[in-house]
Amino acid sequence: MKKTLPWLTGVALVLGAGIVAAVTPAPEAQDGPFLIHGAAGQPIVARDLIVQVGEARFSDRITVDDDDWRADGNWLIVNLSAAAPETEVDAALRLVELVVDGREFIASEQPSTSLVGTGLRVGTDTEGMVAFELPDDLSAGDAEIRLSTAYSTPNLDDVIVVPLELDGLPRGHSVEIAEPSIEGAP
Amino acid sequence: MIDLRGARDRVRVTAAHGIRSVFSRRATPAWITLGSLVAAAAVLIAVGAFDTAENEPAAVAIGEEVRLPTYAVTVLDVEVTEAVEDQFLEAEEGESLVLVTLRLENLSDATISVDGTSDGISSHLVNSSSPLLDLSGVAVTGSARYWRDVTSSRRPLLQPDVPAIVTIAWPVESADLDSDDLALEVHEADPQHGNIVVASTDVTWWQGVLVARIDLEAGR
Repeated sequence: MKKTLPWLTGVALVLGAGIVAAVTPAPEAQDGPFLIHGAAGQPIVARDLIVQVGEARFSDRITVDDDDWRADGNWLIVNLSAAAPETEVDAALRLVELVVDGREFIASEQPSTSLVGTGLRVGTDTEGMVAFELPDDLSAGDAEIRLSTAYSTPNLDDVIVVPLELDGLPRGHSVEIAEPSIEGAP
Repeated sequence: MIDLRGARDRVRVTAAHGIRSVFSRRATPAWITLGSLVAAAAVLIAVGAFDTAENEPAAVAIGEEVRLPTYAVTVLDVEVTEAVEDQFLEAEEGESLVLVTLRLENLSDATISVDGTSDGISSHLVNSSSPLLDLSGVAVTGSARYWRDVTSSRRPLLQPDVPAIVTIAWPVESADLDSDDLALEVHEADPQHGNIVVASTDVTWWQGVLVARIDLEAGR
């Protein structure tokens, strides 16, 4: 018994250390964002943002109204409806990301009429569109759209997450990225 | 009186004993070990393991791609001018603008910008004390401006695996352009996560080794 006791104690200590290491939260869990999960077609409420993800489709070209500008590529266009829950101060959708296939795509800065950066209202939805420029071979898979009012993924603040199935989304030749509009406005 | 003869004999006996010990059978393992170490050192010296590392950047022509683990760059066009009207950009007195049009491809897993930070990733392709893309052969006098096309008003984002055509304008001393050694130096990116002061989710692309020098003279 005297000989086996040190061995048993050693094994117990090693197992204990392994359990502590396994249950210790990752650094992201300590200062990462609070993910607010929702579904397309439903309003999702976060601390400083209310969003509803609408129709999504692929296009080979995007354009904007009243301009000769156009951009060819493999574009994913998503309709969004957003509002500010409590205050209009600093209320804007600033970071819209598409996470798919282990890659993170930020909504393109190219179309000048993108909803990104548009000021939001309290109690009134602002409807608009965002466009993601994707590699030519990316048109299928399980994706996630992540939305927040911060310029970068925030620490210890809300990020809205909406799953999006890319398989089977319709593809058009050209889509015009419409100016953001206030719901009900002429 | 000191017995010199006795001391000399003791030294002689000790030396003889030492020499016999060194060449005795018991010393064989030590000789094998020493021989192995000498042989290993000789091999390492022969293959250049102790030589100072030297990195010779590749000479690349306009139109040829430099492909690195994190990004790829191809120079498409070079122009020296005094102003770019579409971008409301004008060179100062005694300066010129070197416009380099590039095909840039972000080979990482997240969107980056040409300079500054995009969702926690600082890429520093230009406008840094140690940029990944740097002009050589001229004195750069200020920050570089860059744009995707004449209609884009926002800073271009480089999406993962999506090539983009970007023009970068560097203000330089006009007098330096008389020399024939204008080139674009391409450095490898060394992405490092934040540790203590910077959050671990933040990534900075630090300047790595100089891997290529693209001769811009042919395009002027």
